[in-house]
This record gives sequence, C-alpha cells and structure tokens, in this order.
Amino acid sequence: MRISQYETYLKGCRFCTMCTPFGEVWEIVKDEPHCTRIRALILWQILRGYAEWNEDVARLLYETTLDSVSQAWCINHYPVPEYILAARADIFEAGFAPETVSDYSVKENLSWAHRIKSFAKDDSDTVLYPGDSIAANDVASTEAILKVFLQNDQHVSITPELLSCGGLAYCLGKHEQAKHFAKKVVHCLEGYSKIIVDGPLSYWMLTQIYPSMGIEFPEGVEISMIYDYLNEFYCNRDIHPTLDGRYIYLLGSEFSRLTAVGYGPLKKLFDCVNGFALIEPKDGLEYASGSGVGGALHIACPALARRVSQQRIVDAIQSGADYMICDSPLDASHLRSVSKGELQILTLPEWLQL
Amino acid sequence: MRTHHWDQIKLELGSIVGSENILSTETERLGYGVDYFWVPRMLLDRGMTVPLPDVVVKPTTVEQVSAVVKLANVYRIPVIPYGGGSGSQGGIMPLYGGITIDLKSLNQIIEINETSQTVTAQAGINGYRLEQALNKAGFTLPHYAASVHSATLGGYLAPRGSGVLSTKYGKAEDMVISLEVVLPNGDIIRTLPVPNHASGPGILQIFVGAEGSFGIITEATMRIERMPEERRFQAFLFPDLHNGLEAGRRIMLDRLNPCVIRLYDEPSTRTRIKRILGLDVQGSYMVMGFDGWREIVDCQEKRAFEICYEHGGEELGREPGNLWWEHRYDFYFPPGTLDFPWMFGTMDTMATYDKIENLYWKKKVAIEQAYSEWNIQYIAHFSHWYPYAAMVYDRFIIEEPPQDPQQALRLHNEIWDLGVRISLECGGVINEHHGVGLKLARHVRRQYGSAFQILEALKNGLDPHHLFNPGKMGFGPPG
Repeated sequence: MRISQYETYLKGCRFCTMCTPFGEVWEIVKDEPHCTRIRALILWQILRGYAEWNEDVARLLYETTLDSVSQAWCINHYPVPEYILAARADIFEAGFAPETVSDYSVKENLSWAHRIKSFAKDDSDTVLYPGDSIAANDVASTEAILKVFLQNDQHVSITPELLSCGGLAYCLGKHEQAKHFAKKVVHCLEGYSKIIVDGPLSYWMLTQIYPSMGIEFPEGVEISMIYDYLNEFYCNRDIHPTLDGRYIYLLGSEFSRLTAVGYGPLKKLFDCVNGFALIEPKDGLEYASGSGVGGALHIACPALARRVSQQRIVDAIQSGADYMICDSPLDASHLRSVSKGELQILTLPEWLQL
Repeated sequence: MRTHHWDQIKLELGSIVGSENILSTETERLGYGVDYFWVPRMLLDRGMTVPLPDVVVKPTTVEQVSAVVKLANVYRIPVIPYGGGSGSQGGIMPLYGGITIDLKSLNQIIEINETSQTVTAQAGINGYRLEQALNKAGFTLPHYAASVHSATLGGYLAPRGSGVLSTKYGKAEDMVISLEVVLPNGDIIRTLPVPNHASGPGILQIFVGAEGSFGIITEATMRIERMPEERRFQAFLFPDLHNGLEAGRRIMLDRLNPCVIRLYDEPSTRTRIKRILGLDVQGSYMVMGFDGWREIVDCQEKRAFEICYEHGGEELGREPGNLWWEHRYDFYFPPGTLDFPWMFGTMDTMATYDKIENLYWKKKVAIEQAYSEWNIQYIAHFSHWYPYAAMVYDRFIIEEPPQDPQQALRLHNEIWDLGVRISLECGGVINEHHGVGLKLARHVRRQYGSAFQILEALKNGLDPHHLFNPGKMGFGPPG
C-alpha cells in the first residue's frame, strides 16, 4: 500500500485535533468524519490491518480537498496531501473509488484550440502551456494571458496540442491515466527551452509530480509559473487607475500551496500594481481555505465543491470585495460556475486586462 | 434495539434535522467514540473497538436539538452532546449507544456587546473562530485552552475548563454570564441574565461542569476583555520546587494579578522544558506573565520579581518566557504531545496552599514506589493559581506498558485510583479543569460523600430515565 510510506504522519495525526477547524470541507459540514484526525485514524487502522478499504472509507477520502491547509497549520507541517493522494491511489486500485471518480475521463480534443492559435508566434522557443485552463476547459483565461503577452510585446509559442497535464486524474488517484498524459505533455513540449504554465496545477504536476513518476523534461528546460513571468513586465510600473478604490479579494489555490513557489510571485505581482485595496482571506493566503477544486473535489463530489465555492464567495462579499481574483484558472472557473454574479471573479491575467 | 427500530428512528430524526444531517455508517460514527482519553485511543490503537453511537445528528437550531431530545425520550434512547472532541476524560463516549448530537453547526455569534463587554454565541462555535471574530472587534475571550483550535464554546463550559491565562482571567465557569440549555425533557430554558445575584441559588452553575448530564448547553454569554496594552512574560529558575511554590503563593496572596504562573517541577524542567523549549537547565522552571496597562504591569512585575529573588529565583530573561508563549500549543501537537505506545494520564487536581506541596510529594512518592517495576515517571507543573490555592497538573508516564489491552487497562485504572485517593486524602479534588467524563466517573461519589445525594436528586428530577450522557458523573445507566 502506498499509504505505508506515511506511517509516521498517520500516527501523529490520528489523535491530533489541532488543525480540525481549517479544512475547507470541514468548515462546511462541521463534523468528525471530515476532519484530518479521523481520516488519519481510518488510514492508520487500514495500515495496521485493523480495517479494510470499503466504499464508506473511500467516500470520505474523496469528500475532501487534499487538505493542504491542514499541513499549513500543523506546526510540523505533516504532509497531509501526500497521504491523501496515496490513499486515493490505493483506493482506486482496490476498486472502491466512487462512480464520479471512476467515470471521470480527461477531456481531449478541446474545441477552442483555433481561438488561441492566432495569438501565438510559432517560432519562439518559449511556449505557453495552459494546463490549468485546459483542466477548466476555459479558453478565456488563456486568451487573457496571450493578450497580456501581446500588450507587453512578448511573443511566445502555444502548445501544439491542448493536452491535459493529468493533474486532476492524479488527484483522484488515477495515476496511470496521469502518467499517460504526463508522457504526452513532455513529448508535445519537446524542443522548447522555456515552458510557461498558466496556473499552479500545471506547475505542481510538471515540476513535482512528473519527476516523481519518473517522467522528466530534458535537462535545461526551464518551467515558469505565469506570475513569475509577468513579474518581469509589471514590476515598477504604475498601472490600473481604472480600479481606483476598488477592493480586491485575493484567493489562492490549494495547488499553489503545494508547489515550492507558493504564493510569493502572486503577492509580488500584486505589490507592483497600484490603485486598489487588497483583501486577503482572514487567515492569510498561506493558511486560507480554497475554492473547492483542491484535490479535484469538484469532480469527486460536485455538490460539496459547490458549497465550498459558495462559502468563498460569501467570505469575499463579507469582506467588502468588488472583485475576487484567483491565481488559478481552475479555481476561477469553478467559482464562476456557482456565482450568481454577486461579484466579478477573474484570473490575474484577466484582471490585468481590465 | 432491533435494526428496524433504528431505521424508523433515523427516519424520524431525518424529519427533524434533515437526512443530510444524519451520520449512520460505522466509518462516519468512528470519530464520535474517541476523544483524548487514553483508554479509547489505546483500544483503537490496538485494533479493538470502542462504543459508538447508533446515530449522529447535526442540528442547526436549538429547536432541532429540543425535538431530537423529545424523540429520544419517546424511544428512551441515550443522548450524548458532542463539541470538538478534544476532551481528555472520555466524556463523549457513548457507553450505551444512542444518539450523539454534534453541536458544531450551532456556530453563530449572536452579539458582541461592547458596552458590557460580553459575547453571546451558540455553543457549537469553534474556539479559534470565535477568538478570531472577537479579535477583529478588538476583544478577546481569554480562555486560551490548549484545545482552542478544535474545542467549542460549549466544550469550554461543559467540564469547567480553563486556559493558560486562567490565573488572571478565571476559568470558563468564571467567564460565563448566562446560558441557554436544552433540558433532558426537551424544554429550552435560559438561566438568569447575570450570574451574581441574591435571587435564589445559582442555576447557571448546575449546567457548567455537568458534562451534559443535566442538559445540553446550546448558547452562552461570556465576559470578554479588550486586548491588553501590554503582555509580558519572564522566566525564572528556582533552586527547587518548594521555593518556586512559595514565590507563586506570595505573588497570588499579594494580589499581584499575574495572567500566568507556570511552575515546572524538577523532572519536568529536565525533560519537557528541554524537549519543547530547548532549555537545558536544572531546578524548577517558572514562566510568569503580566498583562494590562503598561504602568500597572510595571508595578506588578517589579514586586513579583522581588518575591522571586527572595526565594532564590534566577532571572532567565524575557526570551524563554516569550518562547513558552509562542510555543504554548506545541506541547499538544505530535510529537511534543504524549502518544502511544506510552501509557499516560494527567491527574490535575488542586488544593489550598497549605496542602498542595504535600499532595504533590505524597502522590509522587506513592506512584513512583508502587509502579517502579514499570519505570513510571511522575512529572508535574503548577499552572492555574488562585488567591487561596494552586492546581497541580501532574502526569504519569509509562514508556513500556503491558501489551495486552486488558492488562494495560487494569494497570491504568489502578494508577488512577491511587492518584485520586491521595488527592482526596490530601485535601484535593478529583479534577481541576479537565472534567470527570468516564475516566473519573467512578470516583465522584467518593469525592462528594453524602453530598452526592444533591447531584443525584438533580439528576433524577431532571433526567429520570438517565438518558443524558449516561454512565458519566457517577450516575448509572439509562433505564
């Protein structure tokens, strides 16, 4: 079992309640089965042979994000997401994954390829790989990035194929499917020396999960997060008077928390832009609850993910925000799908377009 | 009860709280059978089962709590209130099954009253979230329990809990102004709007500390404080425990009003302080804190420090004190917290100043002698101080307990029995702030003696079928 690698952490978490109130799903359902300690206790029991996988256990392991917020709050930073991911892979292999998970298949041949081709210059050795937009099936986010590039006189190639990075499949425990796409992505991006990804899901996959699956880009290939790249153009420039006095609620993705990059570049970019009041979630970005797409919750348990997203919109409105800005197209897209238009939800490049 | 009865009951519960607010699979119920009490954790750790509720409900209004209780009366089913699950006494263990009422969905702040400095909130609100909301308004509920991240407001009150600054601000029972309670017959009552009066006996305190035996707390009004202008900590090292205790006693009797005095005995100083704070010192380590207006803090500190010097206290400076404050919760996170395979228990008790040191030594010697074959360690710190008494937070640890669960349980209970007997013989009580729960239920009658009949009469009057949290507080099973 993959969870056997995490015995120490499961042992530590199984009776510890200290991160209980911070989980996004717990915050909504407020019960014991959805807290970190009970998930750890169940996994510990399975690991010790006291219990076995079953559909109820499987359901609980999918009725959560990757719970990276618990890792953030834990003084030891126990790798909660890692053991949830390992458990899901074990559950999927054991055949207990919920139907929503087994039925999930990565969308291929997205219809919006032609809409973005016209923006891109094919001979650049820098390529934009919009893996998060692809995961969200959201062309607008990619278009916004390309427009920002054009405005800044930056010419980049666009990925030859709109391939999934495999991140959502990976989160759901479907490692073989994730690996299949990982290989395709690496092959597809062959020949480019710099890859810009449009969000933290892709960044996490390309920089951390692909190597852990033994799939590597050729040596010397540089992978950048879009915000890092944008920082080069926007730093020290005074922009966006049109948003004077507006309140911007900044929401971070769970996937950003999982990357080594974190929220640093995002914050740095915001620091460069003037003319608005920034509101961070009440616990600060590092410790904040996410939008409900973390861990592919929106696929495994769509109703629960919607409730989490609705709560984030309520949080933003209660904080007085006019706009909510997400660091991931995937989060923005999901939030927009549950929003009733109470406030405008944008990705950062979309916001830069305003 | 037969399965079809439970199917019927679940349907009826569903009509009260909504079917989405009912948990009934074994996996879902598992968390409701275990808190921080060593026994259920040991059982689960060794692959055994713990008593689980037959069903868990998550009401969202007090009226729903009342309706669930009324239904439980119809079917004569036990009812167990559940907050954050951070109790250490097994108070939430559903010994006879029944309905566990998870109160965490009753989580609204009803009013922050700035004029009187009170907050009224539903009992299921998470302690950390409540504190965050109060801080935003410029206030604090200075009940900084180790369990603040997971405990609920109701959970603070049910066992008469305390936080690390209780020496100045009091325990939960000192902060509470009034309560809303669902009685065992389902009636919803309110205590008087103020706790201090000459209008008959105080009904409020019947429910505070009753751990759900007399009613379910659904709402509370608590005193709150403005954030202090200044809060300072200082560490001292005393040559021995006696001098530390004497310094603490004099500071309290001189009414110098420290927010915290935490005095560690010599073994704790050598082990816990070294392990958690990284301070390698010999003697008895004390952290002391003062807060409030700067000028007043200056005066209080000056006099308190003089008392410490008079008792041989060596000033270690502010840094170790601040270090303790910053890391005050680390003691309860793994790996700082006590965990398996060890056997451990916290026997916190209190006694007046003329008795407390004797109590400590009597218990230490008796436990270490009686269980020397198990290499038992007895360590303690004194962390809640009153103007007449101090609390000793004493713990036993056995690093290699018996593997057989029955043998382990027997040994565990024997140690507890000895510790409690000595506490009572030496003028103490069975517990100071963790509560009774299942762990100490068998000792309650002995502690109260013939006065227990008062509690028994209350129980029989309020809950004649013993449906509310049965098997706890010295009361018998449901019937």
